[in-house]
Amino acid sequence: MGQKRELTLLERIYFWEIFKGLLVTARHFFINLFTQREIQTFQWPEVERPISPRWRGRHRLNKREDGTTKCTACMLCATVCPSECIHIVAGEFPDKRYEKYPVSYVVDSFRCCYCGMCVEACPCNAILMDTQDMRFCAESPEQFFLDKEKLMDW
Amino acid sequence: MRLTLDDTLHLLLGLAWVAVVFGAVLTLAGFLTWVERKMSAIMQDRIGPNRANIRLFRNWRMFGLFHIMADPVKLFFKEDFIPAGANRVLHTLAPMISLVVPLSLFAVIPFAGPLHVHWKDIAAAQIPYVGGFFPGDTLHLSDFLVTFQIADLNVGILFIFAISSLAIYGTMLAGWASNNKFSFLGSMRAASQMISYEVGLGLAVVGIIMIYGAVSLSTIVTRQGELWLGIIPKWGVITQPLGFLLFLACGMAEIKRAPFDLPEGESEIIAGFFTEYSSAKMTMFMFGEFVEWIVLGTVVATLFFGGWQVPYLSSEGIAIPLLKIELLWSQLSYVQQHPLALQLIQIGVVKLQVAAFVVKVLFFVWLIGLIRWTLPRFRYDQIMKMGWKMVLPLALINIMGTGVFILLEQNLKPILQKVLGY
Repeated sequence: MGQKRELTLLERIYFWEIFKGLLVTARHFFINLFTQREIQTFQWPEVERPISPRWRGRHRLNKREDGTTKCTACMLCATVCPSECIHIVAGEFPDKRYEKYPVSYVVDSFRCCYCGMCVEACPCNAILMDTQDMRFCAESPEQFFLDKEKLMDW
Repeated sequence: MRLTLDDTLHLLLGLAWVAVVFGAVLTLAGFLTWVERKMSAIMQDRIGPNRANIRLFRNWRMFGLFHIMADPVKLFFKEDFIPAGANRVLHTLAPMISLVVPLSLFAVIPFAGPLHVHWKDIAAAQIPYVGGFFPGDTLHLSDFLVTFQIADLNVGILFIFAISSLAIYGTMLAGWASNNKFSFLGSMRAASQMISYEVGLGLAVVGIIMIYGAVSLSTIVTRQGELWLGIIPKWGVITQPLGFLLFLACGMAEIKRAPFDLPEGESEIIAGFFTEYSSAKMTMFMFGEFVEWIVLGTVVATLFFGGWQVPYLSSEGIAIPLLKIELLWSQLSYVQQHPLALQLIQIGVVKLQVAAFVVKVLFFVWLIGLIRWTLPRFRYDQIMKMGWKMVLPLALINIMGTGVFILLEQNLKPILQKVLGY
């Protein structure tokens, strides 16, 4: 809060100050009436809004060159998750190429608060939130439970 | 009393003006539902409503103009709800009063100067269909006065005050009949606010009545066409600058728009007096408010900005005495050769006057909208303080000052005329 000061006579008469206020709004009115230059709105969905690369959106699972997931089912993401929305069932890799892998990896998007702590916790760079997907919508609630296929299909 | 052909024509013209004026007002009020939202949006650097479109022409949105059609359709298909314990008759009556009262005010507003028709007399026998009802009568078009006003009451201003103070009943009944404490609070606020500001509103206009010496609106507007010092149009805003500011402020309070929208006060008492209204009744309240908005713009333009007057232009010609400019239509050589040319020029002048009037009204509608979206709502004690402790004394001072001014003007006018030589 600033210091409270005595109002000058011109300010107490009030009409001049109102007039100054009207000038400000009238200036915005005429600028936007003819040019729309001050308007910051993006006409989504016709115009896409540029997203920062750091923007945290829908999850995805990173893949190795052979197409398997990088996730080793270490459970760090599930442990750190404050919303407890990551459900992993770990298993042994069938042909022993890798030691451990997630048999199922489900992200409950309803619970997720998009804090990004799973991404920070992951030692293998497997779970990422860089899909930049703004149109994450579905026709039924089950589709918001992202299983392994959906997470890797990106 | 037998109706003559002249009377019939006057009557038909009156009915035509009813259709024209109410058509224009209701169209403008319909547009205002969109203008208000769009205007507030672009003043606040937003875009505003622009999504409504007709499927037939995709992406043809016309800056959201289809919202004018979409909104009433939506509102009329809502449930018409009357709360339990409400007085059903009064609850239904209130929105009707709120809409009809402001609409009836346009009856006394002149929207163009009178037009003298000097053409020729037409015998009843020569008029097809209608003439048969008036055997032996004549239509005196050689000397016929067309007034562009629905009713030229000689108590015009008093009529406006008498009718506009009825608007409080709509607001009061709405709050009282709703059986809702928020509604009741809103209507209580409305009652005290509107009655307080009615005093200031009435006193602010007394100066105008003194200066122009008339309460008839057509006379006031005609006298505003006179020139002061031979060059300054004697508009109300020039003779009564303080009266104009007071009238505008009181008028804004009277039509319950922000910064005086305490009766609605959506952040405090939901929607005030029309909390319990839905569907068409809610639409009527909203529409009544928009019509009141236009009424204020119209009355301010009529009383303080010369109504239909275009400066220096009249049906006789153009005249600025101080600069020795005088141009009479009847002296033009072209007019003297063609007898009907004068009439055509005068009709053109009337068209120009209507245009000037519409421009003035639209300007004030815009200005009131601008004020409404610029200033925040007053606190309740501030409103009462301003009404009784600022507006009322200032209006009284204004009346006294006007009296002194009239006295001085009467004594100094001959001297000034001699000095300036007009």
